[in-house]
Amino acid sequence: MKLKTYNLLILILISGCTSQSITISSLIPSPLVDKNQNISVITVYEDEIKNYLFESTPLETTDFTWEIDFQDAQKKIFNTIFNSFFSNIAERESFDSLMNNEADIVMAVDLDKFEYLTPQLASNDKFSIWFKYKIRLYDSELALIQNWDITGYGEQATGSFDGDQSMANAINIALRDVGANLTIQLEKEKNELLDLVK
Amino acid sequence: MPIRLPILIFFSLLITSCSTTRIDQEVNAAYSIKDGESIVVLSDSYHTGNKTENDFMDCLNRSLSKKQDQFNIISTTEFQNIFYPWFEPSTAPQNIEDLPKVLGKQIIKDKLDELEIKYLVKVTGETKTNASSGALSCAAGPGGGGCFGFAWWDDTSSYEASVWDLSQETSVGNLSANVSGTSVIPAIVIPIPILARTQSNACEGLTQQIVGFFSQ
Repeated sequence: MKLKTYNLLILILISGCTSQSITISSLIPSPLVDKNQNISVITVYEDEIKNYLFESTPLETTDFTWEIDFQDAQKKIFNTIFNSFFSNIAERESFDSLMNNEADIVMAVDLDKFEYLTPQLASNDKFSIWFKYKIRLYDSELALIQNWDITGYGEQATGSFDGDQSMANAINIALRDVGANLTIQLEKEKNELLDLVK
Repeated sequence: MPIRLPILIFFSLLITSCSTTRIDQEVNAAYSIKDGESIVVLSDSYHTGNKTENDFMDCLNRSLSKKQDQFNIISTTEFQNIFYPWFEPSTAPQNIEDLPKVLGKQIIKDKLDELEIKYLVKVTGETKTNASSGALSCAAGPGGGGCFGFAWWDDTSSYEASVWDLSQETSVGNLSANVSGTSVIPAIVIPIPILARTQSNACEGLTQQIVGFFSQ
């Protein structure tokens, strides 16, 4: 009888809230762009780009909670794009360690927002993901010259996938969109960045 | 064994529901494709509200590769990876007027020439359930289980394709395939789904349209 009560208690505890755990390892193709040999660039990634573990807070006791381990997937996306545009590129651990005239441009990348909607939350059949990044651009004297907002959106219908796989797919699509939007931004500002070197 | 065969034939006939297919074609300008040249099919973006399913695009790619040897098919995913990020959902040209903006980049034009990609087929459309009715209930107990009832629904698969000539930067034709059908599930103990495969029929119809278009 005691054993039955104990089992019942365990069952109540584990059915109250369920956590789903996924690991992201997105890769994107190298963009089809012309590489620039003349600009030297230093990138600085904030901690949430280098190794980000997202843990959601349930709104109600019946909600799923999500634990999403991005590892260094975001950093890889940014590196793929920056390495396709610039051949003279290096990375630094923090902005404070930089000195004047180390590079023509310093790009500091930070995750501003990560948002999601699940079929349960949106009452539809898809997972939707949004990313928003802040990229601050500094000149060789470390003076702030531009602020970029780079966003990415991805959605995945549940279809034949399970919840974890749909969520992971939506994140991969959104990160690919981040790469696309960053490429568009770099192409748009290419001439202005070249002017800084002249 | 001899009794089983007619039963199997009966059931295979029964589970294939009927559907109606309508295909349409419109030619806007002269076009031609040579041996070795390639075409690519690409769906319109979900950013514009288009909901063409990934499995429909997979079916179209597969079917076009299988049903002809006149031209090459570069799969949508491969094309998007090679030309990343210029034909992504958020960046791809949504209409023919947007095409010069992308093709104005020499690096893209050179890659298209290298791969001999002559035409881009832009696909829009989706499969929708228009109406459904009936009731089906299933129950299980210690002695066994079963279902009882009758349910039906109407599906319409409606897809359009616009053929863009990438060297001329013009739309040379429009194709469409509309398939509607009713699926039913009668259940007396065991439910027997009789499905109208509207999406796969639309995929088949649009494939025939595209192959026929380039065979003229």
